[in-house]
Amino acid sequence: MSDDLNHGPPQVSGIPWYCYVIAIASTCIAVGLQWDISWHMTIGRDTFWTPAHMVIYLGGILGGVTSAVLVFKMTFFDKNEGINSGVRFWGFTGPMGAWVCIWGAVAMLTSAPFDDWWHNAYGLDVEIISPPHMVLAAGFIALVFGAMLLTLVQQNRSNVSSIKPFSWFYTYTSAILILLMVILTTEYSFTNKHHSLEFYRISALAYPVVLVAIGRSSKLKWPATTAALIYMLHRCIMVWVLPLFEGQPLLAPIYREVTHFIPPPFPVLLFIPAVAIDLIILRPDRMNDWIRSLAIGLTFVLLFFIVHWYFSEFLLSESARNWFFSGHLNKPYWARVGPYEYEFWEYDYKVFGHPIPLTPVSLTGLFSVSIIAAISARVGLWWGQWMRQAKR
Amino acid sequence: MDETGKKMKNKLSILILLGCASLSIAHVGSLNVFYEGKAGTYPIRVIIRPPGVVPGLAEITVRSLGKGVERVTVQPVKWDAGPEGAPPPDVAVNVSGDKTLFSSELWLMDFGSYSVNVDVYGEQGHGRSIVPVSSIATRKLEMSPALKGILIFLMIFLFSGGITIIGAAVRESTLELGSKASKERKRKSRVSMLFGTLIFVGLLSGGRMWWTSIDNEYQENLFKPIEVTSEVISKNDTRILQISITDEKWKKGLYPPLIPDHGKIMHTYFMRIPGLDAFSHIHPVAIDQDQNTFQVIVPPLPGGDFVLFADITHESGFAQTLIDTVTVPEYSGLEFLEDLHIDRDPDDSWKMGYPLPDIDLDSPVRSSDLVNGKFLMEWLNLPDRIIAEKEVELSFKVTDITRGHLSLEPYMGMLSHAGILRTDGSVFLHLHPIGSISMASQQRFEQQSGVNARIESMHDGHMDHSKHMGNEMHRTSESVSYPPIEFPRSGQYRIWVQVKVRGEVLTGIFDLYVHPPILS
Repeated sequence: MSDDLNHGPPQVSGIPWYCYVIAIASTCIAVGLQWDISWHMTIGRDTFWTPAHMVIYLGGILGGVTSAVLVFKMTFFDKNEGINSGVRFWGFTGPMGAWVCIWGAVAMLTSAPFDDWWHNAYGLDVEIISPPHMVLAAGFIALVFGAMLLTLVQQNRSNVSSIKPFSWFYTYTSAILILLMVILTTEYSFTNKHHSLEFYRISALAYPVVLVAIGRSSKLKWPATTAALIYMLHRCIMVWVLPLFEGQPLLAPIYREVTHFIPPPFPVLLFIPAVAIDLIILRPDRMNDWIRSLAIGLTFVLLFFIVHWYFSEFLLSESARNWFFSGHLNKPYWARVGPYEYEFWEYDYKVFGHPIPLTPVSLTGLFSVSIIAAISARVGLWWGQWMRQAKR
Repeated sequence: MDETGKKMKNKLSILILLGCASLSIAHVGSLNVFYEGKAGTYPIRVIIRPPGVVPGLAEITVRSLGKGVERVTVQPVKWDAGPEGAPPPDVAVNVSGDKTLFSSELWLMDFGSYSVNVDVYGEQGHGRSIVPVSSIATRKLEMSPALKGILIFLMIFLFSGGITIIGAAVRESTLELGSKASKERKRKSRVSMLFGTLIFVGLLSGGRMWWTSIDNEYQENLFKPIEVTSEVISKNDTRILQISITDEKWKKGLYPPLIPDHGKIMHTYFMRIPGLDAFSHIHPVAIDQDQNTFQVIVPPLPGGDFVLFADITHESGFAQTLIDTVTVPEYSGLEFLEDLHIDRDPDDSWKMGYPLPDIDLDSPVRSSDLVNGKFLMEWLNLPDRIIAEKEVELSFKVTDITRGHLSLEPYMGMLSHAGILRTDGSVFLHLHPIGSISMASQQRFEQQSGVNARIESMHDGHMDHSKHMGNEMHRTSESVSYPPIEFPRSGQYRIWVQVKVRGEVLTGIFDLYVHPPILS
């Protein structure tokens, strides 16, 4: 049975205020996280009140409060709009994106006491990937995803003449989601690991799903490529701006001279496979989505591998030791100075110093990575298809 | 409390409880560092309370014991990074209401040997003390019931909220505006919530497994002292204690070599269990170049089961206590020391005391006479009740009953040595008048910093310990003071205090009961 349609096509007039606010909230979270990581690498000493933390909290508060306002408005003051365009949740009504944002804000809130206990029990921020940090990551990913949904439904409700600004808002917040995935995979993505299969495996898992979902749901011409370029620009600005500020380590031991904030590594070149993803998704023929996923998976890995195999060699070379690529600037104060900084690593080291051999890249290894990328892309197609239809 | 309850019927079970002693660095059962000395001309007392996790925040308090101190800074230095790898010093904040007390927090970011530069500024200029501290993980923090409750509540909220969002997304998010969800959508919504539940349960289970594996790895990497095995071998009818390092990390060269601490490579407290009646303070020597095996002539004490606590210091400045038990054959009454490959160290000392008594909880300390009524040792300023985790003054006065005046002499460069043992073996402290630090470690860091470095005097391998003879402010010729210490746990303790008078080492024994902390 099809859904009843009680009203005519939706009319969207102007850009709602909350689109701006949640775009700012998403930006705060992305900037705050990168600043925080740089803070840890440069200064080391961490408190609840560091400026980087404040920016992250601001992002969480902006997203959470904005969503709560939307929910209260729909539930108590604009019930008709709530019934017509909201989603019900435990007796309240609000936009789908607002619910996801609120969930994300609560998850971020939950991570705070958990992380504090974790520090006391196991030591301060030993690794980025820890259970409380994953709760926090789930929180900010949900918050940014909620922001995407809030702008997406505006795009999906718009007619041709008013669609563009919403598509840009949506693609921008999507780019922030890519950035979050890049931040989460930092420990697996050091340039020194780009000749190991682990880097390609984690990239195949993390990126196709997001790029494909954006490609299918955004109404821009080159959605995945645009989002990948926005992410790159965002990251590059952090690479170029952070070292302009003075910073000094405040924790021992300090194994290298650090005088300015440490920038993140130069961004992975996602726009190249993103072009291929856009081309494959936008193909006019009626390609089966399973075959499309396989094509995306194989193409993604092939392009990503070729590009990064050689680009990483460049990043480790002397030619990249400048302000633009910051190949010589992105090591923390606790990393000893040595030739290993500019070599490809054969081992990874766990917190307690156990060496773990990294897997060399092989043809069969790349094939297995392609399968992961294809599965990631298939999930992205499902997800993108749903987002393409989201109206509330 | 009835009469029976007032009596501590504590007969040692060290053999069983030695497992409790696995958290040992320079001491057993407590990471806290107590130090008393001079920063330039300023007498100070320093207490460092390491966090027990790495990286973590240690607390440091600095008390000025003199006048004219205006400002105190503290700076942690990791041994392999040196002063140039140290961050700028932090100002220790003056504790309100007490002009002589300063406190700060210290960030210990890495495992291993650190020192803390304590810089004091005031009317008489600047002075520095260097206090070594070991950064190790020793504890596992349990989650409080309140926090557990909050997190479970939030987890339930996120779990049910997440599933509700999934259901709502399928049911309504793609509906055209103004339309209502069909039965088909509602059915799909319920199915998706079921799948969502499975996914959330899977995520939670995976998270739990991940947490458990991290916890197991953490537990495996909690600090354990170097493993040793001990035996007593007989040569020329003489009993020789042999301590062999069996630890794999040591054999792989992961620990730096050992350095002497006030002239000895190993300081060992060796006591008969369970009564702790036979006591000795002996100094095994390495008999091989790799420092794998150490030997010492067992003092002329009766045989039985013995426990040993052996303090060592590594080249990095890291100090730790090795622990083992060993059975010693009965003493034959004869010793042939002349033809042995090792000598009895002239600084070895021993005493045949008496077994642990029943302790009356209302009368916390029972002390012994030193030498059959000839000398007496008295604990000065003894509080009525000794409470765990509260500072206790350790000042002792020695009286010669027969001859009146006496003057304490240096014993291994110190005015006194004290061993403090919780009778179940879970706490052991080796103290000097300068505190609980390893002096070898302190000297290592002083040499590294180039500040106030003392050079080992070449004659007889002994160091110059004039600075370590005790706190001038509290010392007379008949008494000795240690920095106030905190007993980490309640229970029965025995303290051996050693001094030297007229060339003879005297050992005083004190038995006491430490009461649990008072909960406010």
